[in-house]
Amino acid sequence: MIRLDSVTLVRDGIRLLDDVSFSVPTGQALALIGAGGSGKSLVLKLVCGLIRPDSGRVFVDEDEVSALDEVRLMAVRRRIGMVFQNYALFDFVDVGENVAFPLRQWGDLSAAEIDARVERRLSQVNLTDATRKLTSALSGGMKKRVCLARATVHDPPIMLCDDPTAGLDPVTTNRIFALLAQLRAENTATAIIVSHEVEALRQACDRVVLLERGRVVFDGAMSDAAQSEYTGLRAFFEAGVAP
Amino acid sequence: MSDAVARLGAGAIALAETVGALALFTTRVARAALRPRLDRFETWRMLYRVGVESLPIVATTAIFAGAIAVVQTGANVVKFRAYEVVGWAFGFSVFREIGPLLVGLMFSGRVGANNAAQLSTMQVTEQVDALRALAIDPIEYLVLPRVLSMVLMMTTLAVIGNAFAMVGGIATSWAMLGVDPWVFWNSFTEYVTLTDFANGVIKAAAFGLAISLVSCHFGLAVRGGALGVGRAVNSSVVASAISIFVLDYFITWILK
Repeated sequence: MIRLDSVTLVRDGIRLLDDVSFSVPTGQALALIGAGGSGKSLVLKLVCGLIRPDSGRVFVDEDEVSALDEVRLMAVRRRIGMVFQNYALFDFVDVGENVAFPLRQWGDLSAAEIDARVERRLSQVNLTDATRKLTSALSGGMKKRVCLARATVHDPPIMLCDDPTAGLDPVTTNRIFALLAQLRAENTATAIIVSHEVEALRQACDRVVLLERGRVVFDGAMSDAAQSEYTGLRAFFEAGVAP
Repeated sequence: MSDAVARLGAGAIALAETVGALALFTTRVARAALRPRLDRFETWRMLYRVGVESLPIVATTAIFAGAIAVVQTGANVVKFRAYEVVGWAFGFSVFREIGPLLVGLMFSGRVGANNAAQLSTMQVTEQVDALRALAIDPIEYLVLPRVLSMVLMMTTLAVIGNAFAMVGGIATSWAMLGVDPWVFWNSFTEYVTLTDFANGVIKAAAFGLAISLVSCHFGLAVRGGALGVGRAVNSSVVASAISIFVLDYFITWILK
């Protein structure tokens, strides 16, 4: 379960998030949509504890991440897999080591188990041939798939995906959403997916939250979204672009 | 007048903020060092990059530092025909002062700047956030290996630099002043004590610590994109150089 209670985030006098509240029950997937700069990425960073709200509370299961110190946050973050909008891949190691990175650092598994998991995950994202390549040699789509593999190599019960298909062609986009669905199904993961791919979100998510200038203006079932009275949301679904 | 006062005040506040942030950062690093979980691969990688790759530039600097020390004393040595003190004058000035100071400044320009650039690039490309999201403490994974490597390697390079400075000093005194290398060596071993050597080593370790903390702090505290990276590198080099001179003054005063 993920829950935000009246979260407000202010930077340089600007309210980037204003009284944001919503929750995602365990096992559900939430589509977080909105125009650029509406605060979607900030919400994901708040859930992961990478930034702290100025007021309000953020919960991941029973843990109030907005109140935990960095050491205690580590335990929560091990249950989260985060896909970054701009990949955030480590440029000092190759693709295989990027994916293996969290497992090697945590030291819970043997080297053989880690290698097996990495190989399996890379084959799922169709990147077995790229294991020894440096990330700088990859295309945008390949980087996204590596990012997805790294974020999910530890089978996290919570997935946060920040625009996992930004700038990708339709075929790769479909492939990534299919992967997301498969990985979610394997772990019955709770997920928040930020994307502008309306059709893909419609199939992948149970609920939708629309952010506008840092405020929640719609929170409801995906099936109700297209018929919403809120014109901004209907425009989003009809045009397939952010209002 | 009021503009000048306002600017002075703003400068003082900015300086206080920087020193305060650096002190907080140092506290975080010290706390992490109490329960060190060093990544072996990253530590070895840093030791190599910081130490082995800096050797040529340090050796060159040290040879010329030794030569300069002899050139500076040369006129008086010839005037007073005090050839038997050349080794002492060289050892005292280079081992205690010029050696660690010049190696420290070179180390700051090469290693500190590089470190600040690398960490700030990782910060603006969200690699540091990715580490945190993967439940890996950037202080433990990135900063501790760098601090350890820079302290160890700055100290080692200062010792190696002393040997190269000796070569530069002996060669110059022989070529310019006609001092036999054995006379130089005897003067050096007779008058230069272990305390002089230790003095320089302590300074080198302190400079290494300062450069590592300053460059890591400015690297991780970066804001903005490429412009921020440039500013971080610039601030790191300037602050490292200032810390080197301030530390040098206090260590010299304490160990006098």
